[in-house]
Amino acid sequence: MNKIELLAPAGDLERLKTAVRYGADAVYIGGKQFSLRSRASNFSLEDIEAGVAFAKQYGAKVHVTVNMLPHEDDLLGLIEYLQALENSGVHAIICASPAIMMCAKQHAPKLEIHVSTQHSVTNSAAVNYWKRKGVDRVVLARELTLSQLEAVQSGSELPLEVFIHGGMCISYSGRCMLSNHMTLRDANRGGCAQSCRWKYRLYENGRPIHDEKILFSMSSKDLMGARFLPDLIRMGIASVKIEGRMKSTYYIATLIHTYRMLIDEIYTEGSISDQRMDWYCAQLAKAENRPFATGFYLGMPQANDQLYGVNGAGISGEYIADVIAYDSTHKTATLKVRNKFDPGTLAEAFAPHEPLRQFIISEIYDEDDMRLETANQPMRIVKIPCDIPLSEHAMIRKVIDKKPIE
Amino acid sequence: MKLLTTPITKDDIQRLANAGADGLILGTAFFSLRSAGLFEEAELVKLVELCHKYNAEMRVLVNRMFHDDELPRLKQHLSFLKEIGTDAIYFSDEAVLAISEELNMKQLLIYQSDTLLTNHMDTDYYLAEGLKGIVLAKEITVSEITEIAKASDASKMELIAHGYLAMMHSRRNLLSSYMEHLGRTEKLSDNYHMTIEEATRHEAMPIYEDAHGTHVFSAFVQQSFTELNQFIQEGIGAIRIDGIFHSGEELVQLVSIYDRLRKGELDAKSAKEAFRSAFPKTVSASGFYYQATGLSK
Repeated sequence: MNKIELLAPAGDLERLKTAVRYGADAVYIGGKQFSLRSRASNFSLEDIEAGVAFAKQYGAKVHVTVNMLPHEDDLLGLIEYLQALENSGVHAIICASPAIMMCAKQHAPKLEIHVSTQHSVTNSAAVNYWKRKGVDRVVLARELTLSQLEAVQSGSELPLEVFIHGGMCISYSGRCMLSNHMTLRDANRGGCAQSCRWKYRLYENGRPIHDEKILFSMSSKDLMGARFLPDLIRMGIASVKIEGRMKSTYYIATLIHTYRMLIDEIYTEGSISDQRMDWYCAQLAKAENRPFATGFYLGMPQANDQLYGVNGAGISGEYIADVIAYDSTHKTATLKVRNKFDPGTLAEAFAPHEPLRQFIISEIYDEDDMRLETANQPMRIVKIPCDIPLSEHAMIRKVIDKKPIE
Repeated sequence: MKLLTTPITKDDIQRLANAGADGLILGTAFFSLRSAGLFEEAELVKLVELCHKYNAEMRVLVNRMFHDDELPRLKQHLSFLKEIGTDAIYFSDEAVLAISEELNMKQLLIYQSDTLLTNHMDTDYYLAEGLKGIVLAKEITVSEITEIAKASDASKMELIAHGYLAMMHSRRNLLSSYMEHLGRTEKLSDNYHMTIEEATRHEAMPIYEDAHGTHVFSAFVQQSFTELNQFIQEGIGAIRIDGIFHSGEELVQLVSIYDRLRKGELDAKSAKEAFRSAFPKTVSASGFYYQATGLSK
C-alpha cells in the first residue's frame, strides 16, 4: 500500500519551499490564472517552474489549482496556460470545470486531473463517473462522516483526497453565492468575501428572534482531523490535504512538521497511543488562530462546532523568529525577528525533520553586538546566545500555556 | 420557449397548466432540494397523468447530493420515474448521471447544479453526455447568457427567470445550532417564515432548515420581464418561475403574466406593471443580468 500523501498549501514560493523542507509529499498552489483564492499571492509561471524544480529535489510534487468556474471571458488562453503548466513539470491540476478537465486531457495529457472539492463529490458512483472521463483523482466533499467516507473509498476506482485540517466552508463547496450577492465578489472565481462569517439578525415573520449580544452567524470552527489519520490510512485514502493557501509560513511549517512526524510514527509503529495523539494535537494547536472542531468526521456538526460572537480572526502571537545562521564556535544564533520577544522568553525551536527543542533566550543583541532590551521590530536581524545548535530554516516560537479559546 | 413552474399542491397543476405552464416541476422530500412543493413518491403516478392531461410535462427534482448507502434507493427512484413516464429529471450529483446511464435514461436528465454552469464549454460538456438539457447558473449576465446561447445549443438551455434565488446550501443545521448555542428550545427546522439580515444592512434574506441542511435565498425576487423577448429571440429553450415562498394563487398570476408576455399580448412594460400591481410588496430585481461579479477583492 502506498503511504498516504501529505498535501500542503502554499501561497507563494517561500511557503512552497517551507512546506517541502518540512516534509510535504506534495504542495498545491494557485497560478495567476483560472484559480480561486485570488488574495493568496498566486504564482507566476516562472515561480511555478522554480517551485517544481525545488520540490523535485525533495521528491515532492506540485499540484496547481485550475479550479475557477470560468465565465465566457475567462476562457481565453486556457489551452496555452495548461500546456505551460505541463511543460513546467507540474504533476496535477485541480479542476471544478469539466470543460477545463477535458481541455487538459486533450492539450496537456501529462497533467494528472484531480476533481476539485468544488464539485462536492459525496459518493462512489460519482467518483467512478469521473474515472470513466479519464480523471485521475477526486477531492471529496467535506460533508462526509468517517463511515460515509469508508463507503465511498470501498466503492471507488480512483484515488481519493480528503481535507484533514484548516478552515471550513460552511456551504457545500461551490454552491455558495453569499459573497456574490452581498459584495459582487464571485466565490467561484476567487473573490469569496467570507460573508458566512459575518453577523446576522434573525427574524421569524419579521419578528426578531436573535440575541442582540450574540448575533446569528454561519461561521464554522476550523477542522483538525489529525485523530482520524489512523482510520484514513487504514481505509486507503490516497491523500490528506491541509487547507490554507493564504496562511503564513509559520503556520505551514508548524502543521507540516507535525503531520509529517505523526504520519511517519503511525507507519513506523503501526498504531499510535492516545497520549501521543494528544501531544501531536497540542503541537498543531500552536499554529492555529481559530478554535478547532472535527468537521463532519464524527457526524453532523453541532452548536459547539460553530463560532458565535467572534469573527474568527486574530493571529497567534507565538511565532517570534526565523533562524538565519548558527555559529557553533561562539554558540550564537542569528535570527530574523517576526514578533516581539524579550530576554527571559522560554522558546521552542523546530526544524524540518528534527524534534522540538526548548531553551531560554537569556539575552538579545543587535548586529553590532549592542545589547537590546527587547526585540520588537519585525524583520530585524538579532543575535542570541544559544547552547543548542539551531539549523538554518528552523523557526522559533514562544512557549506559552495556551488556554482553549471559547 | 417553454414556460416552467413549480406547483405547491396537486390542485395547482390544472390551474398552472391552464395559465400557460408547459412544464411542472415537482419535488419529493428525500430526493429534492429547495422544491416549492413536496409530493409523495407514490403520488407521482397519478400526477404525471394529471400533467399530461393538461398538456404539461411532469418534471422532477432529484437534485440533492447522495451518499453511498442511498444509491440503491436512488436507482430505484430513477427507474420508477422512467417507468411512469416522467418527462425530465433535474440533477446535480454525477451519481444520478452514472445510474441513469445504466438505466438507459440519460435523455431525460437536465443538469442543474445551481452555481457551476457559467460558460458554453461546460454547457457543451453536459449536452455532449446526451442530456435533455441544462440549467445555467443564475449569477451570470445577460450578455454572458447571449454568448453561451450563441456558442452552444440554446434550445436545451433553461434559465431561472423568476423567483427567490438560492444563495447558499449548508449541510449543517445552522438555525438549530444557533438556538442551542443560545440555550433556547424553539424548534426552527421546517419553518419557512424566517429571514436573516446582515448586521449592517437591511436586506431580508429568506432562510430555512430542513432534513438536507440550511438554505439561504436572495433578498429579492429575480424577474425577467424586460429580458424575456431577447431570450426568446436567442432561442433559449425554457424559463422557470420558481415558486418557493409563493402560494399557488401567486404562481398562477405570475405564469399568466409571463405567458401573455411570451405570446406578445403584453409588452415588457405592461408585464412589469401587472406584476407590480399583483405583488405590490415584493422586492424584485434583475439580479446579475447587468451586474457582473468580480474575480477579486
